[in-house]
Formats: sequence, structure tokens, C-alpha cells
Amino acid sequence: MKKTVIKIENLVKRYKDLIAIDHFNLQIEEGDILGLLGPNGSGKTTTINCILSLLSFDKGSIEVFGQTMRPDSYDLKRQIGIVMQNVAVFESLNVYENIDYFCGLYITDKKLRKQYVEDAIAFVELDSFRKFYPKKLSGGLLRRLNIACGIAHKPKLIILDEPTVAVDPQSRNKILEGIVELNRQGATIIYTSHYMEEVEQICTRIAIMDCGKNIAIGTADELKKMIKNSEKISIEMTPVSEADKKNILTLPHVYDVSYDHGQLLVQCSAGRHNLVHILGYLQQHELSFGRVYSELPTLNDVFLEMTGKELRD
Amino acid sequence: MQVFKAFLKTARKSMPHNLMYFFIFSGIALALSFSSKNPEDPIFQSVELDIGIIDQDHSTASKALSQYLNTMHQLSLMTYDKEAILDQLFFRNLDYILILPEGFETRLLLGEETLFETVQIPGVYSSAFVDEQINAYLNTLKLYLTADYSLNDAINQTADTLSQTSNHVRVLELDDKKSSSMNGIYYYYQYLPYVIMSIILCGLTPILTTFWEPNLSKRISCSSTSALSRNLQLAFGSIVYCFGIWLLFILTSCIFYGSELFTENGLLCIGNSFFLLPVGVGVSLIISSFAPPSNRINMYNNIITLGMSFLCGIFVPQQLLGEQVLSVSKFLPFYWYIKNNNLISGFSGETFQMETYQKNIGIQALFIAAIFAVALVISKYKSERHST
Repeated sequence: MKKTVIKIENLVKRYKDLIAIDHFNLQIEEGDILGLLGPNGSGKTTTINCILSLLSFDKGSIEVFGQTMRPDSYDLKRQIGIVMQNVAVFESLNVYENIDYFCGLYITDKKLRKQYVEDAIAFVELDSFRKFYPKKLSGGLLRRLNIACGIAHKPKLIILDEPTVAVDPQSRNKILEGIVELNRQGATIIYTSHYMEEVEQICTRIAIMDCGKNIAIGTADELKKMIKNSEKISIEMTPVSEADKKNILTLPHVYDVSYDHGQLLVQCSAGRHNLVHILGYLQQHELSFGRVYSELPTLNDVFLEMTGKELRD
Repeated sequence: MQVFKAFLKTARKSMPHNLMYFFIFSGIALALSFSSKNPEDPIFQSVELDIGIIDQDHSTASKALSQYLNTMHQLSLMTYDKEAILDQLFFRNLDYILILPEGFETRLLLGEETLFETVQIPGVYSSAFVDEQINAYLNTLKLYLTADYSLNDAINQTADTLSQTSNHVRVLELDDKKSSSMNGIYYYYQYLPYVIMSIILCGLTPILTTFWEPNLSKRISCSSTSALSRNLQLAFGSIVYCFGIWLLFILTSCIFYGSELFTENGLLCIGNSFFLLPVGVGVSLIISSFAPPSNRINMYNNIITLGMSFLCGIFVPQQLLGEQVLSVSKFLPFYWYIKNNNLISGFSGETFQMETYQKNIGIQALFIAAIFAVALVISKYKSERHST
């Protein structure tokens, strides 16, 4: 049986009248890559800050590795690595010195630390930049340095708070590959982002947050199965009559039909051969059409159906 | 000691910048200390006047007076000719004419008041100076005569007494090797608060600000190094840094003033200056706790150091500051530092007393405690605000 790494129960955090986290519950098992997905202001960073005891909370409990997390829980903190949303490194120290400094806050053994720092440099592929000062690094390299500073002490739990914000696609892929590799090496990971593609790509479980609440949790497939929409079919064609729309709506699994900007949009619930049925109808009634797209639901659709708004609103 | 090491590395990076400040500020302090004179010293310049003497008495006393004046002025003996006298004064060939009438000595021995006549150029202040010298001579002579000295003895004693007074003045003026060196030390230490404060604020504040930059501070707070350990290491780093700066300035003063610095007064100056360090660290802590951007740090530094320097009597002597300014500056630690420096140097005219020195040090210590208390309150308030 997997160990529970983090257990959050009924967490409530208020800023005067604003409820930032509203009775939030979460359990993270060892070896998970948990994606905390939600739009800006949904409470992701606040939750992370509460887990790290950087913020006090009004109600609820947080346990990390089976122990209550407090500001002075230094033994627990030793097992946690944090990669902040904003790059937090010393401008006056070079790449090596920065990683060594942050690693040294956890690891006192000099020899071991040296090894760990070298490992971290190799991991983020900054070997040829070790003497560079942060000012000389590009945005992507700076993000990699930021990650190296957070993971150099080989923590069991790594929290990455939107580490790919404002990063070029190449560096983003490197970072995502790195996170998966860290997980493969045994680290449990919490990954917050509002980029659903990233979360879907690397996370084993996803928690969707909105207005401080945990509105759904599960694997990407589990989340997609929670919603009615399982296939979205778009067909480029000339305007469709109301009668045809009504007829399409009667086809199996079709629950919504609309026409907008030269496209017929058909929403289907879970079922087989949806596209075949629709194309059959169009041919049968000699309705000419152009390109046809069939999309499976995304996490954005999940979020849209659950909250009535887009993830990136 | 990871935080301490990072502190030193950050300090090392700003070393060239700080050394530049050190050379500029110490250069200014030394230049001022070597060029300045005590602003409270009266500016005195003895004037040699051309005096004409008409001695109608030709007595021992009248000749003695002429001889006395001859030691200080250019004398020319004249006969009484009213037109010649006026011409000499009109064409400024003479500044002052002294007429010692017949019976001068007799009237002197009788103790009469009016003994001589003078003809002067109206509105010339130097004439009053000669009047003073003649009066001083005659009064001293009369004193000896009253004390039953014979006229010759009285004349000799008067000459001795006045020459001693004169010599005494010359001792102060000529034995300037020692006094100017000591004055240099006082001036150096007078300007030291401004210099040390500037360097500490320019050097230490950016380092501390780096550590309290919100993102870095947050990341460091997540680490397994305790807050107490981190703060102690930062405090240790600050102490080492500031002590190094102080030592550098003390060594500079050692190089320039040598053994004079190791006299009682010199050591008192050093002791007094030591209290500038915690003041600098405390103020630096307060500024850095707001994590201001670097351009604003310089602005705060200038306002604080220049403001305190002007208000507390570093650039303008405390004796020349107005009552209202002084009543404000009493609430600033530099005021008490300068008060002590004035006490040691005697610039304020106050006699040195160890109790007063210690009292002023004590007041500085209280200010230091108050500054650190404010810094702690701000730090506590900020950390509570961040965690709620």
C-alpha cells in the first residue's frame, strides 16, 4: 500500500471577506505527480503556501509524511523541495554558488553537498554555465537554475509552482521531462499550473481547483469521464436549416447541435461511431460539407462543464 | 554557516564599490581634518602699527613705556608740532600718536588717572588696541607701585609679567605641532559618523535587502535551517562587515596621526566612535526590512546621513546651531556622539569629565537599543503580515 505524503482536510484560508481556500481536501500518495490545475486566483499558490507553513490558515489540518506541518517542522522541511513561481536566486552568486547555497540550507555534510550540487547541475544541464551569474542567463536557463536550487538536496516531495511560466517551448519540454525523471527517481511531485496540456502530459493525478475548492480529482481520463461531453465534432459547411439541426439532435448520443461561423458543432456523449452517424445523415440528405474535425474532450472542457467558465478566463 | 558564507560572498562582490566609497569618504574626512581650524577659535592677528611718541617728560617711566611699545610696534620719536602731527596722521604715515606730557612719572606715582594724551585717526579700530596695551601696561605698573615696589623694580616686574603673558600666548601659537595633530584627530572623528554611516548604509543595506527580497526570503523560509540560525548568521555577517569598516577607519587614523591616537584623548575618541557601528547596523536593518530597490536605498542613505550630520553638528558646530535645531537633534544618536567628541577636544568649552562622557555613551546605547527594537518590531510585523 502506498504511503500518504500529504493529507489536507477541510482547509480554510480567508483574507478578511475573501475566501481563498474553501474546505479544501486533498490526499497525495507516494510516487504521485499531482497536478493542481486551476485558473489564476483559484487558490493553488495559497494552498502550496499553507502546505509549506508560509501562511497560517483559519481551519483544517495539513499533514506531511504523517506529521502536522508547522513553521518550525525543520525535519519535515528537509524532505521538501520547493520551486517558486518567480525565480528566486541570488544575483551576486553564480550558478554553482546559488545551487550550493540552497543545497547547504538542507545538507550540512560538505562532501555530500558537493556531490548533490554536481548532480543538480547535470540534471538541469547547466554544466557549461556553472560560472555564469543569473543576469547572464536566458529566461529558460534561469528557470532551470531555479529548479536546480529547489531539488539539489534530493527531496522526497517536490513542489513546483508554475515553473514553466514565460518559458520557451524547448526549455518547457526540458523542464517537463526533468520533472518526470525526478518522479522516476522516487520523488512525489505537486505541480501547479494553469496550462492544462502540461498537466495532462505529466501528471498521474489531477486536482481541479476553482474559487479555493477542489472541484474534481482523478486521472485525466477519469476526469473526462465525469463530464457529459465525450466528443466534439466540427464540420465546415454552408448554413444548416433548423429542421436539419433538429434531425441531427435525434441521432444517437448527440445532445447539442449549433451552427456558428460556417461550422456545424455537434456535441456527443460517450458512445461509438458518432462521426459515422453524423456524416451518414449529411450524405443522405445531400448536404455538402468541407473539413471535418473530431475532438476528444480536454481538461478545459471538464473545467468548462463543471464551472461554466474557461480555465484560462 | 551557509547564510554567513553567502553574506560574505555578496559583500565581496560589492567590495570594489565599497572601497571606492571608503577612499572617497576617508579622503574627505582627512582633507577636512587637516584643513579645518576650530570654528570657535577667535581669529586673531596681531597688528604692528606705526606709532609716534612725543615724550615731554623724559623720565624713567615714560622711557619704559616707550620701550614696551617698541617691542610690539614701530615707534618714531617726535617733537610736538600740531601741524606735523595732523599731516602724519592724514597721510597715514602714522597710525597713532602718544603724547607723554611733562610730569607723567610724577602723576603716575601719585596714582592719578589721566596720564597721557593721544591723537588718533577717527574710526580706526587698531588704535583702540594700542589704548588697551598702554592701559594694560600702566595698570600693571600701578599695581606693583601700590605693592610698594620701587619704580625701577615695578618697571622690571611689569615688563616680566607682560612678557610672560605674551610668551604664554606665543606658546599656544607656536607649539602647534602637538595641538594641530590632536585637533586633526578630533576633526577626523568629528566627520567619522557621516563617513561610517554612509559606508555602512551604502554597503550593508543592499546585502541585507538581498536576503529579505520576498521571493528569496520565502524560499529560504522553506528550508530546514531554522529562522534563529539564519538570523544569527546574518547578524554575525553584519557585525563582521561593520567591524571591518570601523577597523579600516581606525587604522587610517593610526597611519595619519600615529602615536597621538594612543593618548587618553585619542582612545576616548576611538571608544566613542565604536558606538557608531550598532547605530549604522540598526538603521541599515530598518531600511533593508522594507526591501527597497537599489536607487531608493541611496536616496534613504543620503537623507538619513546628511540629515543627521547637519542636525547633530557634524558639518556645523553644535554651538552655532539654533535652540530649536538642538532640541530636535537631541533625539538623534549622533548628537551625543558629537557632544562627547566636543567634550574630549574641549571645543565646546566644557571641562572633560568622565561621568559626562559615560553618560553620553549611555544615551547612545539607549538610542541603539531603541533603533534595534524598532527594527525588530518592523521585522515581526512584516513576517506576521506575510504569514496571514
